[in-house]
Amino acid sequence: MTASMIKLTDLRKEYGQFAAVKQLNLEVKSGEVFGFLGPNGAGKTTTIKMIVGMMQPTAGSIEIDGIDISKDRDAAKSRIGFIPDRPYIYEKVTGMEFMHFIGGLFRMDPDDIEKRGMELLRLFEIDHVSNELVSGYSHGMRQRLIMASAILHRPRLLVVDEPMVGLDPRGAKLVKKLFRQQADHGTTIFMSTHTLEVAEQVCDRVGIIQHGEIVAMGSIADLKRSAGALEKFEETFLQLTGLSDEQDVTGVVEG
Amino acid sequence: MKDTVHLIRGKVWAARNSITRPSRADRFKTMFFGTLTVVFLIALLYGSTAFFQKLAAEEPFGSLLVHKLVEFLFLTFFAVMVFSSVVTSLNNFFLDGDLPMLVTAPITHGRVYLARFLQTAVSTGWMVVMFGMPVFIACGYVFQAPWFFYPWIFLVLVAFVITPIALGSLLTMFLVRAFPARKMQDILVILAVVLVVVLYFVFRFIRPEQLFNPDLFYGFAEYFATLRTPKSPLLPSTWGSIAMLSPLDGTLKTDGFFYLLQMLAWGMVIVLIGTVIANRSYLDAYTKSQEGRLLRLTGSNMAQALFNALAPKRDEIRRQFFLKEIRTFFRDTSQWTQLLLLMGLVVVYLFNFKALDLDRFAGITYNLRNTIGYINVVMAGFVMSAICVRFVLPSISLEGKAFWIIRTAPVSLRSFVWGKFFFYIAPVFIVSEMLVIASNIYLGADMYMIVFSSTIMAFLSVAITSLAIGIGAMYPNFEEKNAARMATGISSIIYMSASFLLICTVVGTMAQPMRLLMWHRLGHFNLTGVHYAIIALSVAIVLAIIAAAIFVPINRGIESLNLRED
Repeated sequence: MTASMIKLTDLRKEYGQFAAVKQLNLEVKSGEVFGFLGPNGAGKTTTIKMIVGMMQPTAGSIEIDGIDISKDRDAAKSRIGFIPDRPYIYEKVTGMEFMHFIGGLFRMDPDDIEKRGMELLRLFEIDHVSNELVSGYSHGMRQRLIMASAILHRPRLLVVDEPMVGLDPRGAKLVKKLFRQQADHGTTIFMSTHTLEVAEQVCDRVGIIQHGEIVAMGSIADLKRSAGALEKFEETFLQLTGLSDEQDVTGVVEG
Repeated sequence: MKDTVHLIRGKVWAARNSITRPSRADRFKTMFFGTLTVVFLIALLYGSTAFFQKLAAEEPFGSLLVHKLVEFLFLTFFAVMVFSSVVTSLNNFFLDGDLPMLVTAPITHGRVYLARFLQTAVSTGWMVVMFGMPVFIACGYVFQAPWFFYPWIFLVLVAFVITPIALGSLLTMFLVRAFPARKMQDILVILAVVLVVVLYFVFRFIRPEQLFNPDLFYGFAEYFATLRTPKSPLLPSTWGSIAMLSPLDGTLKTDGFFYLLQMLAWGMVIVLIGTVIANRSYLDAYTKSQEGRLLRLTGSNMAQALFNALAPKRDEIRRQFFLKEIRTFFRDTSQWTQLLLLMGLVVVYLFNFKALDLDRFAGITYNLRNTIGYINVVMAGFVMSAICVRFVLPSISLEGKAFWIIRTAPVSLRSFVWGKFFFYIAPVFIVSEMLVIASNIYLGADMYMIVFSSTIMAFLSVAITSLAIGIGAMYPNFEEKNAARMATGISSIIYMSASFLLICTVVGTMAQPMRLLMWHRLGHFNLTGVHYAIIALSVAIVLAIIAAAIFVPINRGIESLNLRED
């Protein structure tokens, strides 16, 4: 086992003339919960897509658990569990069949899938619909199913894009607790979120990206301190990203 | 009324933009299908003219026959319009994606109903108007109708379609209260498919080609003249047929205008009733339409056991790909309704060979019979390409927005694409062989030809499957959910052209070896070294073409998927 679970070196991604990610250097340790924050269009999703192997970088390298993803993509991906922000899954399979499908892709033993799959569906409180088609699931239920399937193969790295979208308060609490427990058992969590409260509660460290570059990194306390010991993390975030100026909305309100 | 117009404005804008700002694919599609439609309309005009000329010549029945035929036609239009209005209304009134926005807007539900009715009327009625016009134009031409008959055709058809479409919409409002909309849509689509297949068979059993036999035609005309069509003054089909023929009968001023106005008036009354009912209970029906889950026929233990038995055993990834594919395929009703239709196509194809009865024709030699058996590989290949374009080609695109699952799994896109290929190859191979062997048996081809043509078809079936998978991977459309719509995209045109070229090249290249071997078998001559060289060279060329058709598109498809950045 290597000490760093994610290592991004000079990572760059260009779309034509536009560089969505510029020279990104980042290291996330094993067992760490890392929050990846930034305003809209900062390059969060592009970075995540490169980490999970959905997108090729223009330059730079990505190492997952010491494995260069460009050299052994499958080995690197077998260590990752990915939870996207929008829960698109196959509509015409049941919850349990979906678990079997995902488990099969990660070469798990069918008996293990059945046992652990049911445990996870129970944990995420969707075991009662495990034999129903996904097309009948609500948004939140789909999100829960994706989360259950993402940790089914016991990944060493969990990459999460906006974890709380579509979850009710009970589900959100469960997820926060789960992330913490997973991290305590050595799983690394790399999480992109706009919910600063979640980052504050769960993350050991956060990195703030803006215009494709890391502009700040450290623990929440470190960042607050560097921004002038502001009380609220929201204010710290806005200050670090240069968005703290109050926009004049009076005209719109009075309209 | 202003609200209603505003409600359909969105659809009008969308239609306008797709005409004024078409994508390249749109332009190509419009041109392709536009040309196809024009060709069909011209053929319909010519066919109808010939048919009416034949009817006109059949004294003393001529005029009576035309009246009967038009009554029959309007009755058919009426039934088809009511049925298709129910299917379209279900979607337009209860399932369309923008309905939540409309239902929650501060607009009365009667207005929503009216706007959606107009949309339904246009999308359902255009068919009758467009394809009815050439038939009646031909009728007017043959029976020397006055000039105003031609604009009159349009007026009558438009006035006629309002009533059945309004009835269909009204019926839908009641049906949705009794059954969940999604379930009902599935059932109706299946019913429609069964209806089309049954109608086709009825048409085939009538054997219209026999009407060209003068004796039989006279018998048919006599029979048709005595046939009773329901002719009640209460039926809109009666109003339509009387109004349509009134300029020919010289009763335009008396019957013609009366029935035209009657159709318009009744149409409006039913629309008005629909609006009043919608104002009172649309929301209730809309709420009901949200209930109920989709049909699930494949959840039974027996189906599961069958799928598990069919799935590959050793490789878990291939097994899971197979299971996912077969489950999603059979649970998607839009897939198996089309499957039913294509099965009908296959049966009709074979039925035609059975009905062909070559023995009736003089001069059908052994050679000719077997040559037809060989050329039949081309026809069977075309049928299989049509099946592949609908089922195999969209298989990559059908992953849809869930494609991220494959992209992030520790599975190479190579094994994913080949997994798709291995899933589809078995059914394509079996159906292809069935087509060629069965049609050759019906044709009375000998064993040599059956073995020869089925061997060529075996290679072709593998190649046309991989072409479909490869081209599907090169041009995937992960946004489109409907496989039927994918089958009309630009990739399908590329696939069909490539597939036709492949089939013709392979069958053409193997024609000479087929002829040499057949003549040798019949004892016309012994094969010389030159003959063997020709056979070997042809086989080598065909094997190279087949190998290229298997590997080039699949490899290009994998490369293209690897380069995707969404």
